[in-house]
Amino acid sequence: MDLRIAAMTPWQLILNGFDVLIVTALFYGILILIRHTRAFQLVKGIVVLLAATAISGLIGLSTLHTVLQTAQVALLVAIPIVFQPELRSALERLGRARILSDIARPRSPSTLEKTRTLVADAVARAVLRLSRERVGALIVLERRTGLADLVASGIPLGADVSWQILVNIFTPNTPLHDGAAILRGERVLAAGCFLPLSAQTQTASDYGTRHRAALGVSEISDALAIVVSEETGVISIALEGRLVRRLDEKRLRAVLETDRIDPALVSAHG
Amino acid sequence: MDDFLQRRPVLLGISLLLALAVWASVVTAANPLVERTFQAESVHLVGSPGKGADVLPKAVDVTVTGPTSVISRLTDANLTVEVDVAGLAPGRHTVSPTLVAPAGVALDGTLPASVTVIVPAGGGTGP
Repeated sequence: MDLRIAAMTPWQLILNGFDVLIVTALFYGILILIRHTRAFQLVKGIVVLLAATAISGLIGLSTLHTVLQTAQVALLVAIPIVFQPELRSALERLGRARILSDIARPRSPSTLEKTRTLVADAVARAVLRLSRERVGALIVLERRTGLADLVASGIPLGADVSWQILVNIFTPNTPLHDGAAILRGERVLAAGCFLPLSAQTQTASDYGTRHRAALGVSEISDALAIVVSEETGVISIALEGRLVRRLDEKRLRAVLETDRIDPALVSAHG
Repeated sequence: MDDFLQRRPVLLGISLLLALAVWASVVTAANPLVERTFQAESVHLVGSPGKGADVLPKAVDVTVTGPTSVISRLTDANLTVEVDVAGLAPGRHTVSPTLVAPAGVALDGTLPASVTVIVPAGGGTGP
């Protein structure tokens, strides 16, 4: 390698450095996209496989080297099949980049802020009340990823968001209380919706169906899902494939108003 | 372990390592190192050779290694074999030649591996 570098002109060196920086940015973007998904484990596996292939080649273990090289080819075919949901999610997140949409459709920050505050307050009040009364609930706030297919699985409502409506939806022994309520902006689009369950193995054993559904929708979209446990009244949120439990009112409102999970919350409650 | 790996600076470091690995792999595949033998047209004496100093043989085979892109453009004329005779007393001396070549070219060896420098009496190269 040193001979090849020595043979390069200063301009070629600069160009190659720039090339490496662009590829680094590309890899970093991919890793950020998948870091909270099962695909991250796959990347770890690939890195180990590549390292093992390189080392076996260097020290002359030719049989192992050939087997590992063959495994790499098989892996290239298997990855798109096994990790289709994660790849789809990653591409959707890539497509949600607001570079073009913000230019094409300027938004009024004050209107957005007003809507967000209104919805955050209604959802927070409803969730706190449901929590006090230990009524199970699952509320999904749609963001940039469209959830039309999930909305179609429930009963359409099209109502303005209010805490009273949300409490009413989840009142036990009523027709809409099972499943999730999905909100878009200041509208409750539907209730009784079916959500995909998370496939995270740890989640499967630790949580009930409602929490797995919340995590599931957060894995395939940028939606924010809020869960109230029927057994304990504990409030949890799922965002970007992460579940944070035992939120108090202050933290719940902070998440609803910022659309972000404070990293301290994850370490404390995750 | 997963928490550590998912931190942004760690991911950035991993990304840089991966990018460098891919770059090295691509550069290696696109421009592999090759070995080739040339015949240097003459062996030059350097280091203030005295009058009458001579070298035998006059030409040597030079085996070099370098990237394909560089070696493919190389000709016998691009390679200069030199023998440093500075400080040699009159008489016969066996000296290893050195190679002057374009950047990225490394000398693997010469044939013969050493040359004979003859410094005549009264023509010493010393101070």
